[in-house]
Amino acid sequence: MANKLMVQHKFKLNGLYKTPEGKILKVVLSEVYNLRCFESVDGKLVGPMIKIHPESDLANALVEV
Amino acid sequence: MAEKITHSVCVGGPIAIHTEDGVIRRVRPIIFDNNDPKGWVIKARGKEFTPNRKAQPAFIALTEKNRAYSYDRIRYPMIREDFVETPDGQNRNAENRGKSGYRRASWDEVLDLIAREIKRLQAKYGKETITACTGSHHSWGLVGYKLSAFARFFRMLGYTEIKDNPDSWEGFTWGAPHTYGYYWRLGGTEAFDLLEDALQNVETMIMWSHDPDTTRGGYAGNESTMWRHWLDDLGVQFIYIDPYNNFSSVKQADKWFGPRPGTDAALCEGIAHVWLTEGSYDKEYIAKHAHRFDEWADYILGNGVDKTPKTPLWAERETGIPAADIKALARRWATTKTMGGSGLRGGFGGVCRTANGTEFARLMVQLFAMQGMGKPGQNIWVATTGAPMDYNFWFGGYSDPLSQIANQPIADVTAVNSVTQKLYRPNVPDAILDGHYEWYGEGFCGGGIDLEFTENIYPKPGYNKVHMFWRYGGCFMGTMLDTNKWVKMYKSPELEFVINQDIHFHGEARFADVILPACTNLERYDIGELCNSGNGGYQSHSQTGNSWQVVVFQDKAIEPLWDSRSDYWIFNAVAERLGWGADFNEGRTEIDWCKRMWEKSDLCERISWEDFTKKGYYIAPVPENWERHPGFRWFAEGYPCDTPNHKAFQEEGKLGTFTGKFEFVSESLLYYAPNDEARTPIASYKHSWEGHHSIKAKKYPFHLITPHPRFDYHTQHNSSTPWFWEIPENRVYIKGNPYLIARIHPTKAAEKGIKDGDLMLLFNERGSVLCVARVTYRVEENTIHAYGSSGIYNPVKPGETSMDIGGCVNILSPGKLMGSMVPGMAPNSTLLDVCKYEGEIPEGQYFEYKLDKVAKEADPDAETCVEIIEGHGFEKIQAKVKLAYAGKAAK
Repeated sequence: MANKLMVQHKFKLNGLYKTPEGKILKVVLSEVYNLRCFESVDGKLVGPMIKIHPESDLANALVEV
Repeated sequence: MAEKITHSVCVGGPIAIHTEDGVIRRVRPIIFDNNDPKGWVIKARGKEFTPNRKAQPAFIALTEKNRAYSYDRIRYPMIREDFVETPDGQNRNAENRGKSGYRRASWDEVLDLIAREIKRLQAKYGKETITACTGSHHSWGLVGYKLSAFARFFRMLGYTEIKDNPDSWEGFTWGAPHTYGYYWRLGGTEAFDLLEDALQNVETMIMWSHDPDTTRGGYAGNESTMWRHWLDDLGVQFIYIDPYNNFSSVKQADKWFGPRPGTDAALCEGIAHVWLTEGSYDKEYIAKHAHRFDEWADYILGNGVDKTPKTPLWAERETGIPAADIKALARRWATTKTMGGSGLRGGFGGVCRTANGTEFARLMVQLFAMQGMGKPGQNIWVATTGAPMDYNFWFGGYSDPLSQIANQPIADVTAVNSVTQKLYRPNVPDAILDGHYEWYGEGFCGGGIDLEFTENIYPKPGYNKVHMFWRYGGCFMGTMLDTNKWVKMYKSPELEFVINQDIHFHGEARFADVILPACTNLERYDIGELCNSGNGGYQSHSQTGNSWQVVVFQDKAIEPLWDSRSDYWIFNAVAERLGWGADFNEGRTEIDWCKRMWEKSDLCERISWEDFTKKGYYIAPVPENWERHPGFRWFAEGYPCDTPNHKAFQEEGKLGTFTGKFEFVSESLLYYAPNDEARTPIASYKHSWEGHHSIKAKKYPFHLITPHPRFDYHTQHNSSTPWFWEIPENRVYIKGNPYLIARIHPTKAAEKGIKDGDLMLLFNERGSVLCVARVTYRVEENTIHAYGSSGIYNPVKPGETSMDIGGCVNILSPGKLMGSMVPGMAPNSTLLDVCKYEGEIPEGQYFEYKLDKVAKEADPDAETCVEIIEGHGFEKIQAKVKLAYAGKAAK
């Protein structure tokens, strides 16, 4: 039952993270189920909400800005 | 005659609206069709449980038709008859507010006047000169709701914000975090997947100050009623503790205890004494998870500074509950798997709105900790939340910052208030009248325990005082404290300009200089979901109070009636006159904002905009094998938190207290407030500053309790829905006025010479309210019970602090906050006396003539208020709308 994902320790709520492609993502929701982000462009949150599983390759590749 | 079916959400839940020729014919629950997903199935004790295939709104939601065409709808913009637009803001006959009548105005006239006054006042005093405040609720929908359009407008304008107090759960916000953290849930606990846990394991339910069929789990309609029937069917025993044998209790209780109001903390201590002396608590759990338990146990056993053992006999003397019953309750709780808590989500209830509210909340948490909180069948849970949900689906709830048009990502630019001066809602009149006010805390911000102790002062150094008040929805006479203060405030010339924006002519509207008619959410577009409070909002993911997660496109069922307009339209129109309309609306219409909510959530992945708006709603399915994360199990079993919370320390298996454990001696209180007399480091029962030990009790021997109402949602519905006045347990219509029911015990009624159905005057030194007596054994002997939150306020001398016949019993409540460092209100610590009323019976409601005059000015054939209540005014209105609709169609 226990979920061992350490989302809060790995990702800061409202923190900015860079993807391998160079996009800047803002984490707006950080829960055991998913990280929720928007792409940040010139201070604006653009496009749809991006859902990232905390154990995914993308989550592991995110670098805090 | 084509029938149209649209959908909406109101504070009572999602509804379907049938209209014909531009008028509402009927309102009903949404019934799901074969294309909607299957419901979840819980298997427990050899049975399977699945919800009905319909949304189950509260019954108040089904009266929206009556409410839309209500007698007290504000039909036109209005200006106070004797208001004078003086250039310096003085000599405006402020003393006549509440007394004066109104004249009809055009939208252009009022909008121009408002824009001129805003410019004048902000030029003279600075932006902070304007303050504004919403009622606890106004009308549902992510665009039109108080946290969205209202917030966007006033943050862009710059204003003195009024911080809300947690008026539904005071003790839990200001008390419980010092025992177990959860300040980010405003003192409430987490209920994830506890419905399944309860169905499988629980044997006893403790429903403390809890009337779920009345308060409906907050915004969850009657979705959870069926769950409690399931528990009944499984043989679970229900114990209700409440000075009033409430509606849920009379239906369901196996045993009812009626403590003297304000003594529940003593009952907690009596229960703890039994467990400590009999060794019937979870010692292993306490050894692992509790901090300074032994010091608290010493206090309970009589080895503390007061040298008073808190025996059941001691508790009997305070509560009035026999010691033998207290022992039996304690033993049943200790020997069976027990869940429970207080109020609508386990951490609410009238018991929290007493002088002892913080101490009760802390002690109640401690009792559940002593029985192994978080283990199967042992938890704070009151059968109103915790249904299975799919947390992988995200759609923003009403209080979620991510789903407000004030903020990114919904808006391109987040609106930020440039003014840092604040006011505190319960004390706005004190601040205006005295010109100075000091208080602790940031309201219910949920940001951290430290924020309870910030020191605030009004006016803030370097700032000017407030001179303009924009009230938006509701009636604080019915919900705040010692509410005649609000009357005095409105009559003060300190307030140079007062605006009231509302749908109905609630009690506060008549004090405004300018009244703006908003429309109901059946007359505008919006989007919303029942009950969901998302990340960062109140009690995140509290949509688990529902069996179904339903997102609704709130289509416009009818055109705005008379000259009413949507709240968004009103704010946008003022912004345009102030020169920043384009910044406010970012080029979007209301329906465009709705679409933003769709495209910035998971909804856009599940259903196209066209299909969503055509069908009118979307139900998020729960996977057959949904991820289960029972609330608090992580802490009981010692693994990192796996529930949707947001704190790093929980991933280390800790609570949000200083020590990460249940603190039976609070380290946070020792650090921040070691000398706070209301909220001591060891939670303890204290005599109320207004209770049966008070000298004042000799003069005013009864306790008044004013729980959240059954026929209202805060001040909505009951006041504007005469259909409800036909319910004898609600109001009694006598000579044109709907008198509120107040309940009194037969023994005391006989002493006072009061018979059932008599007019009974409730009074103390703060005011008087005339009600109809209901003589019943359902109320504890020393208690008068009358529902709070009356939206009707009818003083017999309009504009003066005179006897109210509308039922605003909060007029009688003390203005004092819980403690000098505890900024919570305690309306259930009210002493009063009653007598049979033998004076002249007033005629009417004392305000209809003002509305009738304006209506007749606009239309000599207009229906009067009384015609709408008593006669055929309702049908006449619909006939006129239908005619206009046909005329438009012909063109």
